[in-house]
Amino acid sequence: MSMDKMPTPSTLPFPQGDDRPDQQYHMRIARDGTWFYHGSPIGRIALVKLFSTVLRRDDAGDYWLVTPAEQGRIEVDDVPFVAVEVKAEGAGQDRSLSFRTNLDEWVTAGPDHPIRVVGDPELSGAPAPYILIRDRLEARIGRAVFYELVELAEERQTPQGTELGVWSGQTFFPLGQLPETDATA
Amino acid sequence: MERADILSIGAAAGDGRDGVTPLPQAVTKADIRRVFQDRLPGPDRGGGRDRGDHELNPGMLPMGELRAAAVLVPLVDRPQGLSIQLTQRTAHLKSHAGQIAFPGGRIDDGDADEVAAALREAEEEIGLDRTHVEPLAYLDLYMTTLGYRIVPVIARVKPGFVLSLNASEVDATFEVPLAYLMDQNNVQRHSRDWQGMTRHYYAFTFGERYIWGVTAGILRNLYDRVCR
Repeated sequence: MSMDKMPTPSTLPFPQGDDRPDQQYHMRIARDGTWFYHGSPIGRIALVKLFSTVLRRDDAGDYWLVTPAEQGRIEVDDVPFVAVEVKAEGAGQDRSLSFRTNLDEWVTAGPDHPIRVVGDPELSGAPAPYILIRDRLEARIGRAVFYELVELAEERQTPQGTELGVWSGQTFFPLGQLPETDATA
Repeated sequence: MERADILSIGAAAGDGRDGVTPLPQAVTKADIRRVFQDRLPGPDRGGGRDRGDHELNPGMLPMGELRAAAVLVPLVDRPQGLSIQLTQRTAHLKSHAGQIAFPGGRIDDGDADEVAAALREAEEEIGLDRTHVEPLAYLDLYMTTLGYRIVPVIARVKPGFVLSLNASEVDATFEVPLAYLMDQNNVQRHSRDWQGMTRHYYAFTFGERYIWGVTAGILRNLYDRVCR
């Protein structure tokens, strides 16, 4: 067991289906991935990592901390994690893209860890990309990482036009549509 | 002991166990050495995560500056196997009166590090001569609801020592076989109402002794590191 090992996410079932009272913990995960407790940022990453192992999301999309003894809701401004690094291996359809979250969890994009891109209403429809980390818990793909993805992206023709996307885990993940240009640039 | 009160205030949830498999064999020195081969790493001492009372009660995470403390987790190297030396605190103390605890306390300005503090406290409280103590490793640090940041120092203790208790702090000392404390059949989870909230904690019963709270939590962390 290494000292640097990422804590293993617990396998506690959720929801518990028991009569434990629900409560609201004074905890919030901000859009940039910072955890707050009673309004103050939790500075110790080791503590945040530990809480992240008991983080759950229910069918309604609410976020919970579920411990062996109790459970309570926490606030999440956007999604709980941020992808802060990407590593690419291979090329073309055999490419594999691995993402590291702000809590040092690694996942490789593919059918189990899909990438989705939506228009961010807060940024006037600019692309907001996400990757699924586990159990309905997503990481927002940070801007710098997203630019790296765009660099790695390939074009694909679809009935709607030219699509830009990346391959990983034998899956093509669209990042966006290229505008119909006639070389006016 | 306050045990009867504690047990009557909050009943254990379910059967009080987390469904982990019991330890198949006794924990040996070799296990300890294998797990803690990275001997006394620094400087964070954390082992990668901050454990503590908040693991069962996230709403009781302490706020603000934490007070630094160290405890000695003394593994006495008995011929029949390792045992853990514990203390029962004096009944009239202001905090944690009568509770079962590891030797230890606050880190003083004069302490070079956590090991120094743990060795000093063990000498002061129970007269454990440091020539019998071989520090092996730090266990994950443990944060308590009351705002302590405890670094447990795991140490091998050579038998043949003679204890001399500081009566103002310690009423009694006793040893518990490590195998008993590492057997998850012996771990329970209890709760009590405290400051308007339900506080959950781990607990062991060993004969007439009731080991609970921070001490039981640290023992559970030891289990996590050694046996899982």
